[in-house]
Amino acid sequence: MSSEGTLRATVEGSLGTTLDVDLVYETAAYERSISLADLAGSWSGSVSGLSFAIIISPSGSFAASGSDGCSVAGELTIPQLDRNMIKGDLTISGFNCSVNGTYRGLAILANNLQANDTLFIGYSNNNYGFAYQADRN
Amino acid sequence: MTIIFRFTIYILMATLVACGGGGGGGGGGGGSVTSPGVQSQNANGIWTGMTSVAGSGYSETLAFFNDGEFVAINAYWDEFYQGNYTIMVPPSVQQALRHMLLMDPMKQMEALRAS
Repeated sequence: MSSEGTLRATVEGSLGTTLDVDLVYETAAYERSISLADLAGSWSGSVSGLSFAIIISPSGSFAASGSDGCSVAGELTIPQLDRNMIKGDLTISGFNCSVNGTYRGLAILANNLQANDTLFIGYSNNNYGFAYQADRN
Repeated sequence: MTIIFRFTIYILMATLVACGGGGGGGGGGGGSVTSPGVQSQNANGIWTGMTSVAGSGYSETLAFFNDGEFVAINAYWDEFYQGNYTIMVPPSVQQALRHMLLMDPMKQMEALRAS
């Protein structure tokens, strides 16, 4: 352990699995101001067998659609404007969508090729969980 | 949309043991100093590191914590964890806090009011 900025998370699962996660605090990534304007615009991502597109409005509301027929609508908020942390509440729906439901999660902005051009998103409910990387179009 | 990272749905709760610095670079939220040498334990922030499982090795991990909720993405193993967490104050900090309260009646009153 160092004098500051480290932690060990012991993750306990209901099946008896235990993980140890040793982490270092990323000051520059977290301790910076972001705004809903930084999120606004169109984003997209893809993995094997799936592509998706996200439109985020300047108010924080967003809509997304996936190539699997699922649609997403929700709201993003920034709890603390001087910190890079985004909370999300969303609903997934679709006639042929197998994961319909309400979800909540967290996201962060990251810099890849330019400032704030990448989103890391994770959200779940009691049944399903998803994690994505989305890139600004 | 379908799952990008396989979700380990049985991951329900994480227990954090933070060391110094308000649980991370000033605790993300500033690591408010409550008394000389004693800082609040606050894990809010963005963290990177390694996940280890006995017998399975290590994998790089991106994690973000906010007020009791966390998301951790473990790309190498294609896993994703989300849930709630509690923070365990290390015994050395607990001892320092007890000592401070014993020595300072005003701090005892403040602690009682805050509890």
